[in-house]
Amino acid sequence: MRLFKYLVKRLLVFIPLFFGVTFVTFMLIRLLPGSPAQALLGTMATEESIRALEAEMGLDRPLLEQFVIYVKNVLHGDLGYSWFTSSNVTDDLATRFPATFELIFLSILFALAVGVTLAVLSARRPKGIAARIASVYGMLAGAFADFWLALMLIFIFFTTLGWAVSPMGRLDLIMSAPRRISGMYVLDSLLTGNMMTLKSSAAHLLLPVATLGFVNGATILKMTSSTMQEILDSDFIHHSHMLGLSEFKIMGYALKNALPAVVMTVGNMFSFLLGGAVLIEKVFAWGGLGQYVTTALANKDYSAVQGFVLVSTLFAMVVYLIIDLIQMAIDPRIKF
Amino acid sequence: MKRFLKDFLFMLRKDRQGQIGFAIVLLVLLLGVAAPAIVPYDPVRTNPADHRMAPCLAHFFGTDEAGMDIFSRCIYAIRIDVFIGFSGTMLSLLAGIVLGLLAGYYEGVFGEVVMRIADLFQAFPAFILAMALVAVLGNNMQNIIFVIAFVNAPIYLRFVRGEVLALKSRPFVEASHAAGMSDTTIMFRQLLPNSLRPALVQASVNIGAAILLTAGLSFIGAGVSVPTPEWGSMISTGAPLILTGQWWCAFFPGVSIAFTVLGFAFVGDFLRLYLNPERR
Amino acid sequence: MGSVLKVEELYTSFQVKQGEAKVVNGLSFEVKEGQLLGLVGESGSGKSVAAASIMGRVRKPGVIKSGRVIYGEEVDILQLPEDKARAYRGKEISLIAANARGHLNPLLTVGDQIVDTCIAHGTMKKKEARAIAVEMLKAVGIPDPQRRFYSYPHELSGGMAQRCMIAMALVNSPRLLIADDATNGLDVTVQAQIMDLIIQMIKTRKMSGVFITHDLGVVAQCCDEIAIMYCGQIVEQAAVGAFYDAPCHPYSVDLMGSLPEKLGDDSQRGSKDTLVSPLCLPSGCMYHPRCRDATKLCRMKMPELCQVSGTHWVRCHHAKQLAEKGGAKDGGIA
Repeated sequence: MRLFKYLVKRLLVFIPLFFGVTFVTFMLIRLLPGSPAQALLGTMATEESIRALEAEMGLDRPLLEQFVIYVKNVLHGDLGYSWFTSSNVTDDLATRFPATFELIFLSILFALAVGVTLAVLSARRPKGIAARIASVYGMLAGAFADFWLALMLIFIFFTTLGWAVSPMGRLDLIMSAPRRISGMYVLDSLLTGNMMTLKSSAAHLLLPVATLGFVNGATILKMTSSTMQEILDSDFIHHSHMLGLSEFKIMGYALKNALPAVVMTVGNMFSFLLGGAVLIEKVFAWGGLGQYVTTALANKDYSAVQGFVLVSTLFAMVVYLIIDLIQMAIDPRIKF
Repeated sequence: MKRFLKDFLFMLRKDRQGQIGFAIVLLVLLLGVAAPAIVPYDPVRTNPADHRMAPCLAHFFGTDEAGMDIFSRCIYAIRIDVFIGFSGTMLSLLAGIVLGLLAGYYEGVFGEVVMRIADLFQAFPAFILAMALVAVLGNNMQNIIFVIAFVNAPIYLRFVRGEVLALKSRPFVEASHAAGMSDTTIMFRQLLPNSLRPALVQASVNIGAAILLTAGLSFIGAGVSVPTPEWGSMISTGAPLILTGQWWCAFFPGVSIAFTVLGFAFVGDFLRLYLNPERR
Repeated sequence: MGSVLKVEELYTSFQVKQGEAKVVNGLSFEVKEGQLLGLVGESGSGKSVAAASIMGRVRKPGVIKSGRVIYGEEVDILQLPEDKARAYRGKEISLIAANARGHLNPLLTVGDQIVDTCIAHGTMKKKEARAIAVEMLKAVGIPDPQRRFYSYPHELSGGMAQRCMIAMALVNSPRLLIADDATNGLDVTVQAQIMDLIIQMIKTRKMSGVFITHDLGVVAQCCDEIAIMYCGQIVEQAAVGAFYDAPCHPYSVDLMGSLPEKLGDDSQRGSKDTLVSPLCLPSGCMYHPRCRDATKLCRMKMPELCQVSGTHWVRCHHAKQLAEKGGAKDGGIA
């Protein structure tokens, strides 16, 4: 019951933010130079035909009225249709979102594994090999541009060695997607038992996940390391030594106390990468959300941009809610 | 001032990483300033006859698709990337400090409004927001600087505001009120110098991030465009060549980015230690 | 009577930016079975660092330079590798500190923490350890221990948390308990209760105890023996009765003089306001910069602990004269 109340409260806080974001996006994209009708019809179009199309798109009405109409439609579950892919924005997002989510979810998982392991190992032996690897890795990975790193990995593993699959899309070109359940190919392949698509989609995920995981693992490593250090230096850890607890147990204590900070970092990463993975998506022709919104921006595809912003704010809200719930589960001092 | 400098050099003498950082940053700045004197070729002159040449004595870093000398372009790009990254960060720091100071001092309606606006813009995915803003404003250097400042300002705003809120209730500030000092005097004399530290440290680290953002925007075509020498767009033109084996077109600009960002990161780490009040 | 703890020539220092801070400088003392020793010194005299050194582990950047810390008859904890030394901490010898809430893991229930301590030193099952933990919580006077087992440190009052800490320290029935300023920061009434609890636990469990404190009154009430610590070494040691009758070392005299009931007394002399930094220890007797009676000898040569009567030892060149005068009550050496 307390949880329910808390969720309702969170939702209430979200509503104004949501309207604000939608409104700002709405106004911002209308500031884009040039008219979408012009863009659709090309430079040869006559003034009249542009006016006519604008009227058809509803762009001739006052801005506020357009906004009210849009919000009304959204509340009815209609995100409008994209003027360029001429399909429903909801459908577009439903295929793009799982593609990006699958990519960033696996990347963050990989980053977590690398970052937390190295952080714990280097906290245990501050002068050991792991600590040295961690410090070099932390320094370098933060300095690389992820899209550049992706290109280098492609050069090494695809162009030169030929070990990796062609860095184009999420499956081999000749293959058709597994039956759609979640839209995430690996998961769907597993669920439908389609070994062929499983292998291909996993192979296509390898390099982008390695790139994003490597770059973002450094962030997690640094965050975890500095938090662990602070905790290992605290009174209660010192006292745990005085009680004769094993080193393993004490590391466990420290890690648990560092977890809220790690969870926070991971949450930020999720909401950032949903759009921020666009560069990697471009390199691997991934067809994800980031690429979708990039094209939409270039084409002044109003509904598509709005749809993306809507999905990403919603996603961020869910992510932060989950973070808070996890932190409450870990730390008894945080209350609803 | 002299004591300050002495203390600074004393700290630096003991910090290997800091020394490397300052050396890198100075070297990069020097190369950027002296670019016309150093580079062997005009960075924007195409030479189709010499296109896609591998690194050799005539072209240290090779040539690209259009036959432009990659070494010359990498050096000239410092003038674009580092300049954008640095001024964008400074501008956002300035905006963040002023707004944070005001929002912390006038906690009421004004502070609330500022913070909600910051919330609003931070709710957008940062990279996409930057892309959209560049698209709205048009992609020239000035606008990219402004966009970087706009996207990052909320970070500094929060740092400064947090410090101001903590300081405000401290006795020395209350004493200033009691002594009848004006709001502006208290803000700029008492609060400002004492609340800058976290924001400054963050800024020194963020210059690198701003450079990466600039390059990223150009890579996707939302930043500086070809043929202006810029690391991100150079990598972008080199990207298709990766599949055909001409790795150098993308490799060297990326190394330039990593080298520069690493330098600023080291300097940032050093400043974090140097400005740490618990150091002494 | 056998010895429970023997500390010999212990040196601990901290490597800091400005140099080496020598905090413990040749500390030696012995605790016999069933004995309660009060280790008294002002703040900054190296008390807590001494406690940690005796446990065989000081916080960074502290280093135990040399010395022996012998538990029971034979084991020198400083010679043991870290993983072996752990077996003694919390099992043979336990420490309780001030600010209990800060010394407990904020994310675990106090019950689980007692269970962890219990399991760390035995082959016990979790279930048995649980029963023992509840029993222990009850023994330290926690009401409703079944329920309190599931409390988190932040939900407890300072006194309650201190009781839980005592429970953790005693759950493995150690032979020696070190209380490092254990009642500091608590309300006065609670302080008395906690002190009573510690004494009672030590007595009923036939343990020995070391009370590290700056409170001479506490030591007078409950200890058998008192040792005065200054600059990380013992400057005077005696049976409690003998000491309070006639403190000999000028520092002890100053400490006694600063007790509230003595203030305003004519014999109250007070020491000079000179700070002695562990970064730069004075030559000779380390008290000489603050001592009003320092002579040339004091500035040159470090005095040894010398016996002034049966169990009364003083580290002062003028100890004999001071003792003959019946302590320094009437003005020390003229």
